[in-house]
Amino acid sequence: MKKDQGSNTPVWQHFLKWLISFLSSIKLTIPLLFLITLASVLGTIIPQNMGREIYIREYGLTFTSVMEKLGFFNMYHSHLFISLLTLLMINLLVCSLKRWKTDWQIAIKQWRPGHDPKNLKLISETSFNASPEIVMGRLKDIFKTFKTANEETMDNNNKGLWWAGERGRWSRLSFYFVHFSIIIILIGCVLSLGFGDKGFMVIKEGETKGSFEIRGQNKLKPLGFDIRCDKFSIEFHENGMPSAYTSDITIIQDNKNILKGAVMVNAPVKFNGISFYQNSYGSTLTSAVLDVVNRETGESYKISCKPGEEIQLPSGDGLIRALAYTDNFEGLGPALRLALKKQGKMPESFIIFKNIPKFDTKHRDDTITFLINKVDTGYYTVLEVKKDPGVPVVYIGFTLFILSLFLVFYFSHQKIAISIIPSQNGSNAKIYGSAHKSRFVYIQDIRNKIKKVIM
Amino acid sequence: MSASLLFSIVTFIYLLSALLYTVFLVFKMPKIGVCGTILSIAGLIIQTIALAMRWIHSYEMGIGHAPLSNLYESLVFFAWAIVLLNIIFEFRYKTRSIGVLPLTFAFLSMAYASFSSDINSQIQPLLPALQSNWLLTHVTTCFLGYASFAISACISIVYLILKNSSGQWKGNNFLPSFNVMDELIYRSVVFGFLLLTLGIITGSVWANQAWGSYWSWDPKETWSLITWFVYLILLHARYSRGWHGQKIAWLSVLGFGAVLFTYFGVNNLLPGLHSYA
Repeated sequence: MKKDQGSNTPVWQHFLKWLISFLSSIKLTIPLLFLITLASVLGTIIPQNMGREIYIREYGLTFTSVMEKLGFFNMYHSHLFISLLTLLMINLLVCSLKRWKTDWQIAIKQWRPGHDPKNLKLISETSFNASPEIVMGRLKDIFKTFKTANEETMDNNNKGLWWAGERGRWSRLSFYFVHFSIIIILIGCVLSLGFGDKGFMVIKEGETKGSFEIRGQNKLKPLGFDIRCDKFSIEFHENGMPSAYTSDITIIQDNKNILKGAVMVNAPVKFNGISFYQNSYGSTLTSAVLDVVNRETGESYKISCKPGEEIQLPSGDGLIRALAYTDNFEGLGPALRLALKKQGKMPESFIIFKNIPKFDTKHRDDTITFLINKVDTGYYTVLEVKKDPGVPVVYIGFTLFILSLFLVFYFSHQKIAISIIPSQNGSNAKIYGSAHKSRFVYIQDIRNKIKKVIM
Repeated sequence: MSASLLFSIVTFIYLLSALLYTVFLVFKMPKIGVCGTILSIAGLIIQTIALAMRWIHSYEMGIGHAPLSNLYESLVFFAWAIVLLNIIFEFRYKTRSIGVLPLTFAFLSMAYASFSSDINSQIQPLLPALQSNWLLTHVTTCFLGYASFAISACISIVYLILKNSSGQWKGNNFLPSFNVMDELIYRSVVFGFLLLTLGIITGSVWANQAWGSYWSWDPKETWSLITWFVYLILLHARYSRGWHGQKIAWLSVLGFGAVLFTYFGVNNLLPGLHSYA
């Protein structure tokens, strides 16, 4: 390694210097954007968050290990992706800070040109059949929105006239507003991830709950109040498509009904900074009446049970419990899962179908068999629960971003200078101009406007 | 007269207009070009009336909503937006010749919507997820953005063909010079970028209202962001690296490829929440 003999600065300081100039380099921006784009594409092509076996089957063991290390299976939360985003933000921040001072100084300082069109481009040169004063008056009329920067009468040159104006000086800063609002959006996202809670709750009609489940963590978190689902309903269009899902809920605090509301898709209910969204729903068993038939004697009787409740069979054959119910078990209609505990035997669990009464007799070799006589069902609703302090910040960032993007694209710092010299038939006018962006459109617009003045 | 009949008429008007633009450009006949423009304006007016009729009709059916709720309606609106922007561009920048490809695109979009057998052209009621005031703003901003990118890609294609066949092109009364084309590509990308940004933001706000999450890396979301990034690269390359001409034209074509994938590819190849269009 080459050693710097002129100074005693250690290698790491050189490295730091290099690193800062590297991070602030505009050359870094495009490769970074490209890599982020590429990673995003990969994230949509490679199935995300699947079981490891699926990946091994698809890509082989070696590739799977490499891709796993790189975080390709959870791309948007991988270290790689987050590092790229962080680098981009650092790049954006350092770049903006570096350039800020120059642009700020131009933006606050009024343009003070002499009567010299230096740095300006000659846009048009035209002769008029009128005196310089009249021509100047007409030309200045088309540049009404420009603020006068200089106005002079050139005495030495046979009463020539000179006028210069500018507008949109502050638009020099729009570029910073754009980048600043990106940072605000990002801060909002960090707030969402760091201080937000996202989960769901499953509530049966009539049930009251005070906590929700954090997704993927199997952990309950208290709401700080209770919520009761009074009713869940579905409405349909004439063609059978669903038109509305509604959960009527009541918020309860200190045993008092505080608020009644309807949670619908696109219409969440908010309370105490926590929002409830209609996510999904399902049917659940409220009670079932079963026919219990003795295969040998042919005797039968009815029992009524509620989900989860254990019932002693009157015939003394054991204990029965309804475990789970579904409206439609793989296309076979309503089905109920039961658990039967007989003395001295292992408990067993089995399914019976409402539409296939013989199912249990056929599939289970037991003296007592079960048939569904009647089921009463109710709905349960699944509400998405979210507390997200980042949202207002993100929305402020969104608004600023759109406004500043509009400024960046459609406003520029524009300068104009008009020089008129008397001629034999009237006067000769030269128009100079410059714009710090969108010069083409600026120049074309001025030429079009001048054409109208001539006519 | 029914809206669907009017849409069929519009499809043929756009085809005819594209043909007239071609004749104008190939045989250098200015009057034919004017006819092309007039036809495209006529088509746009008829299509606007037909869209309004469809909108009103949906209210008469008791399921009133803007005609922007499925693939059929989005294709029709896409064609409408392309023709509208093409006319605006033509008058704003006085370049009639660029109309050839946009009108062809508009015709293809209409034809695909009308003649494809897997596309349902019936007015359907809205699913609960789509019942929101955001539907109108989200879809219009996205598709106006897509349309602007389409126009940018059309000019880029002409630019690249000319560049590779003749190298030097100073422009004539029929086709603008390389410099002007370059500026037009940039102008249309800028407008598209602004609208796509609005589209993504309105989509994000809507998703937060409907599902409780303003960003969830759904394939449609991600691909709209990928598209956005491609154009972001284009803008940064132009602003800070001074890229012009051919490189920008290629990026604009690539960007439109991403638009098409976001529009058609995602729904057919990648599963996700955004299954309407």
